[in-house]
Amino acid sequence: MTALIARLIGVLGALAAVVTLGALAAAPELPGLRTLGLTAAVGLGGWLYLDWPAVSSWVRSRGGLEAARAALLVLLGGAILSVAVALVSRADPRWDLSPGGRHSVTSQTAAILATLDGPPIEVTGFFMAAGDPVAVRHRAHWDALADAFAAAGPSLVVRTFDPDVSRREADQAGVTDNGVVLISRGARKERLYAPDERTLVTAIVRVARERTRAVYVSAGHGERPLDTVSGLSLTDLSAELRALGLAVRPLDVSRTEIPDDAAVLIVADPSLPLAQAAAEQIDDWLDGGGALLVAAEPGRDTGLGPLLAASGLALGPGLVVDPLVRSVTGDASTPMVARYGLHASVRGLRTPAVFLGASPVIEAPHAPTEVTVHRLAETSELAWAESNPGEQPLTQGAGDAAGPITLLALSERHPSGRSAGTIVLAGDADWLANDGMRNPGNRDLAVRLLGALANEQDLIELPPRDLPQGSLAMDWLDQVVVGLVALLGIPGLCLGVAAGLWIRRRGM
Amino acid sequence: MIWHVARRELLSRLRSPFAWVVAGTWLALQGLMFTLILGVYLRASRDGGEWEEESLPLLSGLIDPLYSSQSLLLLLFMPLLTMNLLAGEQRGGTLPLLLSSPLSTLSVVLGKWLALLAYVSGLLFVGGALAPITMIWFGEPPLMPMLGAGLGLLLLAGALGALGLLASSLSGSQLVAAVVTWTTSLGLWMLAVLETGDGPAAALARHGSLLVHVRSFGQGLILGADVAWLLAFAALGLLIAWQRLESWRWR
Amino acid sequence: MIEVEQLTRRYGALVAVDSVSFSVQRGEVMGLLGPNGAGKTTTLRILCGCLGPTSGTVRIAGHDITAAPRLARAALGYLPEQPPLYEEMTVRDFVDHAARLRLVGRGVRASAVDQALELTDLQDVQRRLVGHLSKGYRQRVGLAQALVHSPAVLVLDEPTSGLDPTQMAGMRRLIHQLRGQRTILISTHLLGEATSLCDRVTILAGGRAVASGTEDELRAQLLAEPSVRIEIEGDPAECAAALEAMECVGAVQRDGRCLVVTLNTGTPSARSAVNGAAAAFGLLSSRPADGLEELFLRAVAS
Repeated sequence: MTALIARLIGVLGALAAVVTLGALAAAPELPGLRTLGLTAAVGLGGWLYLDWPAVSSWVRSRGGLEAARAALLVLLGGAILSVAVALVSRADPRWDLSPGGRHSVTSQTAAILATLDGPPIEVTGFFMAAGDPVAVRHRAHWDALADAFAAAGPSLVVRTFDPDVSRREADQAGVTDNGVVLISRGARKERLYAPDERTLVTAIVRVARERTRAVYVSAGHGERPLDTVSGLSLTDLSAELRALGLAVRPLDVSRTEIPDDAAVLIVADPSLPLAQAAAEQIDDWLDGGGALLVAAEPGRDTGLGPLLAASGLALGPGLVVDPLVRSVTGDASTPMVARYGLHASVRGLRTPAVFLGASPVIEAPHAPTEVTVHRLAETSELAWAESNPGEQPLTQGAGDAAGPITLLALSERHPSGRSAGTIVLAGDADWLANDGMRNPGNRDLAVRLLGALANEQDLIELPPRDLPQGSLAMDWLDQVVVGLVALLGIPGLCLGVAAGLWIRRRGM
Repeated sequence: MIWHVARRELLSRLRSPFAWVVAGTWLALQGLMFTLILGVYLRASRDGGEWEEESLPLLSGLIDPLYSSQSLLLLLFMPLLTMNLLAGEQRGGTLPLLLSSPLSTLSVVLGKWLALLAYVSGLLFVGGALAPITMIWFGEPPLMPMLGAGLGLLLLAGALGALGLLASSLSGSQLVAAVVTWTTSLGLWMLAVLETGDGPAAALARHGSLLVHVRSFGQGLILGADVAWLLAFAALGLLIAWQRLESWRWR
Repeated sequence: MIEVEQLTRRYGALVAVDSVSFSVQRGEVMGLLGPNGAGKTTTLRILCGCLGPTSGTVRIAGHDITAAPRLARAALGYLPEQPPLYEEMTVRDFVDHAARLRLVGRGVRASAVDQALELTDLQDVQRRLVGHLSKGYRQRVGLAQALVHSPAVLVLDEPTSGLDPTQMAGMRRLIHQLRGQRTILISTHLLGEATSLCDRVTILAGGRAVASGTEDELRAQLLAEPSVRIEIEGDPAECAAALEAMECVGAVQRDGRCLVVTLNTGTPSARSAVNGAAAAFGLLSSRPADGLEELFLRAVAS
């Protein structure tokens, strides 16, 4: 009985020893290695002690010595192989045979990453590994991207966590969403949402070169304040933007030039309309590449009407009324986003944002041809633009534009094919303020949108990726023929050979 | 020396009616998988569907699934091919012929392994040539990833072959050999489910699972680390089989 | 050609072969004789490299089997008790494969195979599958495999076991044909076979070499005095007492119903005197107890 127990202990110890040695060679950072090693030692030692009579008599016979020699050879061989594999893993040679090299970064990215020096830059992605198909697909994309970047840059430390599983890491990083990528080196940090290769490499370069971009909030015309804390101010928004790695500063466009590091300019509900000089300055700045977010309250003139019209955007008449919201909160004048658009800045958003008293956003009549207008957020079909907000009860009348009503729209200017700035128009400013930001949908929308706008402005030019996909064209008949050959032809041939051989053998 | 052992092994397989029946079954299953995957792919690319890319990529839509199904078939059939390699010698009493000859036991192990690989290569690449031929005839497939997938299958066959050889050396029972090979290879394959997460189990899965080290070949990516791992796996299996065979001398 | 010195093989606590020593000269036929379980097969397997010795030395054609195993094995042809046959091969293919394993060069292989098949009279069945052959043929295929590379030393483990008398005679004739150029070591448990086929015999019992040499040498080794085995009708104890009283009798041992009478001299008169004395007790039979079979039984029993 003791012998049996001893041998069981010995087997356990041997297994632990094998795993320890393998882990030491391949993954020395594994936690619990010491415990494993101790288990191995205790197991093997315990077995040797308890089973000593059998062991010693067996060892003394020739068989025992030879067995020990063989075991030693296997152990040595295993150790050498483990070391070899570990060395190759560290060097990580790889050959991307896929069409267009979809597993690798472009040569341009590789060249850029090679120029980075200094301490390594940490790139950490938080993507759920399980869940709905969209999340899984995002994770797959990120895994491929992370793998490619890790292989391309020795100056990068790329890690991936599942925020559901690795709660500790997610909490430490302050990550509550899915699809967040943190880039940091020392104090310099940036936050991206589900980036593609271009956005990621641009952000990495920014962190490496310690460049900051800034979001400037227009001030001096009675806009929503940045410094005081109230339900109407933008302090929460500003905090969220800083978390992305953006600097947030006030700017009086009537008096000061827009600085070079301005990526985005927010004009949030000025009480006094902006002067034409200011509008022209903004226009010039947009021309050189910049993003403008205009958040106007119903009934107030921002002074940017002509600029917006030239970009194909305008505020429509009336107030947006959303019966869906009325059935929930009793107040119909806070329309809810029922659908987000396909534009990259809002794609993938799920939580509905709520606008607190908004004008509809419409396409300006006579919009020039060199603009592309994208609807970013709209209501359901049940909403309408109420021309008589005072009426009781609120009903959709003949003059009221029917839903879906656009709440947020984006215009990209590209005269003669050149990119000349982006303008986003919202018919409400409260959704950005502290009151509005309490709603998680508003927070998500604001952060994603502004983050995307800021990123867009200094993207490194990468050559477009040519991804030849290959093609296959077979009709029904082709498929049948191939199927027959595959299922009957080839196996039948084998069975025929088998039969032939069998018949021949019987005669032998 | 190795050549003589390999030659006998290969000829014996090619002349055995039973082996051809097994091959026919394997190829039939291979053909079934191909027909099904092809059908799904062609239907999906006709319908368009909600795919993000404009046209359905051949690599992830056809070549990768085919590669996965081929690997699973390998997992299933290799134990059948290897179970008798050494167990048969033990049961049939032909070990004295090998042990009393000037032949080294290492040559025996290597010869049998190489013969097995040659046979499996024939099954995979000649018997399984229908899939690449179809793709080339009826379309324009990316050729390099197909070669990569072939390499992956060959390396997997080498690893599983060594494992099977090792299992076959454990006793004279084919059943024991087959069961040991099946459970070990399936276990190492399924280990991959532990992969997500950051604990030691996940690290073990990432380093030790067969699936993890085999799947990139089907995606057009050849990782040196995977190649090294699979070769090391085979080498270790052969080493242990060799020592096991030697042990019959002094046990 | 074969030199075995202090060969020992242990399986844990069990000692299968215990310090066995013998040697076989070139051209000699040596018989390894002993009951089942005496260690004959183990000894032969060690000689042929299928098993490793626990201690002791073995030299085949001058090559030590542990120091120069390849050379030792190349000089050897081995037919185990169960011939090592690949059932699914044809006879010719099998012998050819054996030739390859024994490093017979490509140029001479075909003729070597032909010669081996001719020697063992297998030409008519060379295209048949080994698995389809009868026991006698299979044994011959095993022998062909052992001969194909014209080894200097031939080791045969119970080559006639399981054969019918005709086949046995055929096999013995074959072995007789092979002597002369080769050194042959045969193991058997049949005394008659050992004495008729072999020049010298080593008797193994309980893992030990009890005696070794020609028939006469064996007799001299095993026998101290001449003796007679008598079987009587009457009371063995009384007869024993009477015989012991005689002066030519040294000792009397009881062996069941028989008495083994050891004589002081080997003269015929002494034997007849004993016979005469035993007749008083109803002598049934009297034979010399110093025949080889008797010696063999006694040696094995002790």
